[in-house]
Amino acid sequence: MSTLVDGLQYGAICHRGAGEIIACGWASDAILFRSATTTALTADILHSAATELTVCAAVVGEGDPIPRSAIIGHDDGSVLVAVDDGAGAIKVYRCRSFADGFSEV
Amino acid sequence: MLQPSARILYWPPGVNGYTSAFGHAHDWLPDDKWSMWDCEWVEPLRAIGPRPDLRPQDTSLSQFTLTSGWNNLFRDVTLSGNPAVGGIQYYDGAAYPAGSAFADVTGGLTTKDNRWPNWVLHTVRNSPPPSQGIHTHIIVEMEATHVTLGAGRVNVVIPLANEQYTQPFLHWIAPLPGRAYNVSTDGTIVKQFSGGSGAKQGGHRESFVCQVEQLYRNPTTQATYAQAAEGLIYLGAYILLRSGDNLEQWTSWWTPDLKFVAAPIHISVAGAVQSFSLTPLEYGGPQAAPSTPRCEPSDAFAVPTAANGTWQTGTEFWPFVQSYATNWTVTAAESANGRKPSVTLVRDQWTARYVRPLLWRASVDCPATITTAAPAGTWPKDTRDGDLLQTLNVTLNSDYKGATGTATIRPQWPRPLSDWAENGYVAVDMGLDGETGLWAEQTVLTGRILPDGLTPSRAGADSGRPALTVAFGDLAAGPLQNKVLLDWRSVAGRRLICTAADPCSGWASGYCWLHSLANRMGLAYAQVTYDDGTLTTVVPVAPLPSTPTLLTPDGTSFLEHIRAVEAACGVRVRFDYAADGKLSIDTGPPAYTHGVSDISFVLDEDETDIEALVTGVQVDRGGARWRNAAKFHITGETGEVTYYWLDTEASRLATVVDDWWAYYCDDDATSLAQLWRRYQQEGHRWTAAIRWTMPLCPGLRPDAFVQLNVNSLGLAYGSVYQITQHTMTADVGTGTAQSTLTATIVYPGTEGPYS
Repeated sequence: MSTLVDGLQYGAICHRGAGEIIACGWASDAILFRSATTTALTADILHSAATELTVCAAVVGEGDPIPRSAIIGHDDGSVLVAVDDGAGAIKVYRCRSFADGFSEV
Repeated sequence: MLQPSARILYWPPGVNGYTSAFGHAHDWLPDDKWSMWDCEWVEPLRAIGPRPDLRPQDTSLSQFTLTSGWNNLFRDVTLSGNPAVGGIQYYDGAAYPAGSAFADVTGGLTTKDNRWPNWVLHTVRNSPPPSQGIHTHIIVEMEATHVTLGAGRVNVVIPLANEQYTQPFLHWIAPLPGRAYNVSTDGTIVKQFSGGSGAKQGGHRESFVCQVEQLYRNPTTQATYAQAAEGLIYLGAYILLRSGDNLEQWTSWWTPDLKFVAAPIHISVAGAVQSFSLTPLEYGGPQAAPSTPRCEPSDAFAVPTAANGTWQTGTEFWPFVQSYATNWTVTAAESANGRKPSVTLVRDQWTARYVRPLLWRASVDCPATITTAAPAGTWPKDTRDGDLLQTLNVTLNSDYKGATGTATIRPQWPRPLSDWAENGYVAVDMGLDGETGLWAEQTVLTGRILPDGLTPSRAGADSGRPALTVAFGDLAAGPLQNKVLLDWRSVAGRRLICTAADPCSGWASGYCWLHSLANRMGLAYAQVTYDDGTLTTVVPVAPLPSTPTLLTPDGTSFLEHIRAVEAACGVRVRFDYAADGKLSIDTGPPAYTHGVSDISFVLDEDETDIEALVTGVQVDRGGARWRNAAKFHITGETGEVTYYWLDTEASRLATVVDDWWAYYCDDDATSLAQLWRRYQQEGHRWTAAIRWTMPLCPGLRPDAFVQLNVNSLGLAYGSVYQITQHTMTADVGTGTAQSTLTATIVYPGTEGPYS
């Protein structure tokens, strides 16, 4: 069974290209990013030993809704994650290098 | 009183052999029409070899060492496909400003194991980010050794979205600069892909195949090898590149200077997120289930047929020319699909999978059947048996091709010698009656009566007595003028002559060249003489073995083919060298060594013995042959090679004060050195020649050395000459018995008469 999205909530997955499946979702007050290329869809190591990257912090207060997030792989190899900031706006984050992580666009 | 003594022995045609079943041969050169099983047509080489497995295999970071200090943002991924295999992703898609330090923006990997430079690179490439200021690329670097510059690299550079390089290209650098180098500014770009994606903008998959075919040559056997070994000469390497999008579109580059061995392969990546797998090419199928690569030409070659002839098929050879690869076995046999070769290239050991043999040419060869005729009667006939041999002339030359003679015979009345026939065998004896040694009667020529060599006549001035004029000569002057080569195969790679102890009739790959040629002439095996066992020459093979050498199309004359082989191999084919009628071969007239070589005769102005009295001598200074400058041209593997040579200006001023050029061109010569030797022998020798007459001296044959002890000719007293021609004349009626000889100087030196 795939473990790629274990623990993630209100997220999404998509195909980045060449069989790479990327996923995002909320967990532990942050929007997280993971990637899998194996047929078993287990999270690959992204950088150093990390198998997930933090897209942005998303602290959820008591009774607050968990933010939704969506993800897509860009043609230039970057990853874009759109996150509902809970205040009626959606912010877009981009990662060009797993070593540098995500930054808001 | 010097009196001639002479006779002719005659045998009917065929007593030494004739062709009762004709021989034939045929060459097949590989092309894209051949049927192939697990083989591929390698168009740039015009050869066929086992095809590689181009499917990706697992590639992971554990197989590589990271280049210290570089931007090694690599991770292991799995590349989708069938099979899905492990790959490596360079995950730095950040934009960098132009001029960024190379190591800061480029990831570097080196394989931990040594690999042959045969690989397939499967890539998954994203476009570089907007504002990317550095070059986006993947470079595969193969270690190589430049023959003069030392350690170097040959690089396959695969750019992307590049303003300067719109296609992948091949680059080499040597010696290594000891620092990171820039393929745009360091080293040499030698070739652009004829396909490839340097100009693409979006993400895509693409595969690249690199195969390096190295050619080594055994200088003795002329065999071609795919790998280095003791005693082999390195010819060079073909680097063959293809895109997976079109495997039939080859980009090739030939280098005679860069050598490859199994060595680590280096990869650098920059400018975009790019994934790849690097897979060594394997030939001959998987270990558990090896394939049987096989190929055969599309067209069969039928045995010739004719109503009144038989073509031999009982003894049949299926020779071929290959690049030998260690632990591969290449065999050829007649195909089940027609009379054509079927060639298999089988890997014997799993360890041999990285280097493949190549097939360059395949042939069929069926020697003719030579039968000895046994005509009724008692043979030979002797002109002393009642006939009158009135006049006899014989001329020999140092080329030992084209010796001729004529005789006038008064047959015993009324017998008209009607049993003599064209192409009949003759042995001609001449000498001085009662003399010994050089002057003794001896056989001077064994040959054939020429095709138009019998002319019976009667003349009133001679009381109507019948006479027979007979013209005879060696094979070259006689029947070979009436024959041409048909269905003859390439001789490149064949030994010129086998040893007597190793008769080529027992070889598995066909006769040696001379025996094969004799066989086609209709000569029995015994009519070929092996000289001294030292001639081990093999007919040269072109650097690219599929390039035909010594082309011999149907209708080529025997002598034309012989001349071509002589020029290519630096040898001399001799007819009747020992006056025994046999065919032989050597490396040319013997060289003179002063004080060592035998002097057969001395032209002495103080001579008193009547048989050694020279009746006249004249000098040919040789200016007509003289050339003091030359241009040489061969078409070698690296293209056209041209070389100029001149005498020094001082030397020219000391001789003709002019430039007399010669031009030497031979595409079949293996090197300029052979043309140079030809020039030295033919053109660049202001060779004084002498011509003299003396009493008939049949013992002086061409190649023999004579010494000139004569003053006042402008030639050094005691100088030595080598006989090039000898005309012997005997006339019973007048008692004439004379030799006229020419010889060229061999000592001292060969410089001009003005020195």
